[in-house]
Amino acid sequence: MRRVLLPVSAVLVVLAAGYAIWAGASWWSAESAESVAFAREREEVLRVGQVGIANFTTLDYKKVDEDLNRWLDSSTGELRGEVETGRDTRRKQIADARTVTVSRVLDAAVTDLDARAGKARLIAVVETTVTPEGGRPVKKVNRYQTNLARTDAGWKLSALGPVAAGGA
Amino acid sequence: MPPTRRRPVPTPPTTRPRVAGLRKRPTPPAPPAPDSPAPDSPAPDSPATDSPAPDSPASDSPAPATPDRRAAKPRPVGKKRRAGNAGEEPSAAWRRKRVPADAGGRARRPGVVLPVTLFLLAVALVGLGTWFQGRAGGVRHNAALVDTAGTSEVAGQVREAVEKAFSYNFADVAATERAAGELLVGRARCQYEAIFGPVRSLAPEQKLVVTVKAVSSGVTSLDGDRATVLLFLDQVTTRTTDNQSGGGVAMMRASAVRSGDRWRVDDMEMFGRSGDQSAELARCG
Repeated sequence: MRRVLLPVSAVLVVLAAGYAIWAGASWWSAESAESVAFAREREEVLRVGQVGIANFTTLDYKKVDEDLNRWLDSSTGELRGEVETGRDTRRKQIADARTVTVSRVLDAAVTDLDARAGKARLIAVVETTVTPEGGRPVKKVNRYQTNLARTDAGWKLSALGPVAAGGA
Repeated sequence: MPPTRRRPVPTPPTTRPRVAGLRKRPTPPAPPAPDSPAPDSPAPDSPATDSPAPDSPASDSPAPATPDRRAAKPRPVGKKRRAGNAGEEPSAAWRRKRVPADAGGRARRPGVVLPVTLFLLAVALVGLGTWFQGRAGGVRHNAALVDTAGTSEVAGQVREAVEKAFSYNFADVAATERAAGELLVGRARCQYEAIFGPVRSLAPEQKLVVTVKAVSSGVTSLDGDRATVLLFLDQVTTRTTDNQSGGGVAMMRASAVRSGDRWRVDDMEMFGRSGDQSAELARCG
């Protein structure tokens, strides 16, 4: 009885140590590096994408410049170029229409994320409320797809458009 | 002498060391006992008499101890033993030298202490491991896109489930019914009735062919056997009686649960539905 006590307890310790090491390693791997960092990046893309799309689908004729500056802040590359070149036309249009357009993102999903290349795609369901001056607000739910690119100042929208019937 | 020493071994050693440890002074006289045949002989013969002897060395010692100490024989023995070890050690030295069994008795202490220590260490390690595992389990992050294979699997199966359940060919009603029955569970069944009911009642008489296609999808959450998928759907409805076609778009958030190796939709939320449909859907609770 006494003789087996030592080997048995020694084996127990070895097994317990093995278990502890395994559990520690699985914790470490769960906590570690890549996957968590990637998930964080995805959350960031989702957040920036949602804010960006909401910015781009919101325009108040009473503060056009402020809203358009927000468009510029949210965008990069091609999309930013479009905003810059079409700025005057857009300002005139919205001033003539005298509408207040406010949007919010109902749901969004990151569909692609290449963290290394700094490219991402996101789809979003957006509820837009258009209120003409003195008129009744009209609500509409639309679907959008956007591309994002990572810049020195964080993620920015590089393309944005509605997803029309038939796919786009 | 050797035979007598070996014989008492089994019984007294177990009790002796303790007694010796407790009463250091009285014991030294006791050891000489074996040297003097008188007290020693009864001990090995009868264990019954043997046990009282070590238990009460005080009673034993007065008689033999005094003569032993005075006698020339025991003294050198005692001196040698004491010389070999310092201070309190003599008793230990005693045990070691005198009886092999005493040596066994001495080994018994670490023999228990070490296993107990190891056992406690094992318990501590298991506790640590359990804590690690708990922490590892606590790190539950949304695996959407992180787990590439899992993400495309759930996206593909949810798309397929929705496309099959909402596509309808008046010529093959069974396919749609079967798909809906297999791929939708829980609340989604009730919601399906609310969304699809009107189409189904019209379909046979107008010979409708309804094709639903998911043009875009994104997994918003993926955690173990639960997932949420955002779907952009295109619906093309063809009335074969006069070949009139119409289309529409829809946005759906589908919750899916994995049972076995198959993802099934258990909740559906449509964005931008009419008031009637919302009311119908709300009834599904």
